[in-house]
Amino acid sequence: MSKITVAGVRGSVKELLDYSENTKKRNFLETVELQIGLKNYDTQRDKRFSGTVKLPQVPRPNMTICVFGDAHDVDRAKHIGVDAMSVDDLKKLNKNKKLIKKLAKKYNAFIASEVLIKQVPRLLGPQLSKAGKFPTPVSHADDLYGKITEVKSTIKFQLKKVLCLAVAVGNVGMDEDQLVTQIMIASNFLVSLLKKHWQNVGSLVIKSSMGPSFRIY
Amino acid sequence: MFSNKSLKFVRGKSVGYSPEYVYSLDVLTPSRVLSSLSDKSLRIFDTGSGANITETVKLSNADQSSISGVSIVDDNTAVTAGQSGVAKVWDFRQNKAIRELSHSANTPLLSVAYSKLTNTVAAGTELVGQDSGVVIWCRLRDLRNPRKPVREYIDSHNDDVTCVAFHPTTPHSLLSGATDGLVTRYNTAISDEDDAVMQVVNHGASIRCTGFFGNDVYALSHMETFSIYKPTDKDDEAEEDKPENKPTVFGDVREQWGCEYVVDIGKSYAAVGSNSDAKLSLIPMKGQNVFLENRIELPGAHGEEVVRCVLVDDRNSRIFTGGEDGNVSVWLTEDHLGDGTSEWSQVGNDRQKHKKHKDKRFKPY
Repeated sequence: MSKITVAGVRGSVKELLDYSENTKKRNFLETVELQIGLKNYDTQRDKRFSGTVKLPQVPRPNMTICVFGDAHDVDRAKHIGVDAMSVDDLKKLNKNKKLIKKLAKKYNAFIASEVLIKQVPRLLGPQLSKAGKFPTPVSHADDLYGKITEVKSTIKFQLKKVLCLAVAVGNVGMDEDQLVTQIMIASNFLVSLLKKHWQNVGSLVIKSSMGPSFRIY
Repeated sequence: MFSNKSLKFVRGKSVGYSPEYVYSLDVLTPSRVLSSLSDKSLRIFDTGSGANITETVKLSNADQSSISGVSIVDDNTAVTAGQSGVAKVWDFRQNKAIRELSHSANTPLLSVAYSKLTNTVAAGTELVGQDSGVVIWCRLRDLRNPRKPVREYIDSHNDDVTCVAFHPTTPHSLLSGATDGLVTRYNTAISDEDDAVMQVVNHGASIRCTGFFGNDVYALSHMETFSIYKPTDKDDEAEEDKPENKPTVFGDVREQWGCEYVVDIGKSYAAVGSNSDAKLSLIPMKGQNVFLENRIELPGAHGEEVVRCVLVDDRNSRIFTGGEDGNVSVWLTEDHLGDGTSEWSQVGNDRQKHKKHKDKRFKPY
């Protein structure tokens, strides 16, 4: 029922990768974006279109994460080479707004032990919320590395006042198959949330950060 | 009504306002329903008992921009929140707005809630620049009271606050949910936001609605993921995971609940729909227990258009629905056209006049 085929997408992905690798190679890892142009959708009246999509491969590998952990989770974090802070480390910040702001800027995202996360408002005040970086919980039973990967693989999407939405789906360092899969998953998931599904989609385009657009629908 | 799964509902009557959308339906009195539409109007319908919907009042231009939320205050009063940045208190004996509530930032209001316990209105604001949050006004009928808010919490969210909800029995307990994926619980008796915030829940996806099931907090996202969270104490320094504090994570409910989208979550029902096959149904819920087998279907729904609101009239065994097809419809079982007086229970509204008696027989009049 999907209006895009693997074969079709693959063709565009090939061209996109070719451009970024051969025609004009950049000295940073370009992100590949999926851009959706909506139609028959009224941004004023229709229900919001917003959420997160989790992809099998991490689209942007350079995300920095910090773990707020109890003793157990700080250990786990150190073991896998991820920055961690204990309750005492957080207490040392003394709710100093400047320091917390700095902390919020230093990392892309935070993960906190389940036992600790309820204390975050008291330890750090509302600053992480305001920065859009309130931590994601992790329990002792969860695999910490898995949770970190999950956070890195989850992309937010939100339609605001214009009929176009862009979502990071990968990077030019990924191989063709991986990119095709990511694009298929993201497209089909997003379309499933639209009330008229494919009838709400005007166009689908993939684009590398500095490269040209390639239309896939 | 919904414990008897052999009940079949049919559409009784519809009133149409196409091409407008019907945004909300709320109980004003046992036989009057208040509705807000996309044409910026508020309408009141006399609904008697049985297959009855008759528009009796139309208030145009209820907001200069768009009505984003309605909350009932009492039999003759409601408060609306508007994208224009202003909330209005309406008196339906005079059929006009008697107070306008504004806030310093003047940003659009996206959601509204009213607490009878403290005679307080809360509204969620849209993100403009760096700020979005919750504004609170009280003492609504006190005309000596300046219309300025008593609280403006602006540090707890970094995106549009799409939903606000008061605890039905604990005063000063308020929830706000935003497109940043967070639900914040406040003690609104405390003015300093740092101290007023009691709990923050990261639902992980843009929040569409949030509310209380008892003391638990539920959250539904714009991508149809649903969870129920336990209340926590920010001073709790215990170091062991407490299994009873674990949230109930439903995840994406579309498959589990057999639908394409959720219309609304009420105190004891989830209303769900499917556009592609014109379906709408109500699934009884009690906390985390979902009784799929007792699902009530409303055949035909609003065609292929999205259903935006559902209102249940338990005593009269009828259901009102409003959708993007512009229709307000009433649904009944054939043997209950014209029974007794109505007692209201409403999907999406904490306000319950009486305790619902699911097992009681219907009173013939």
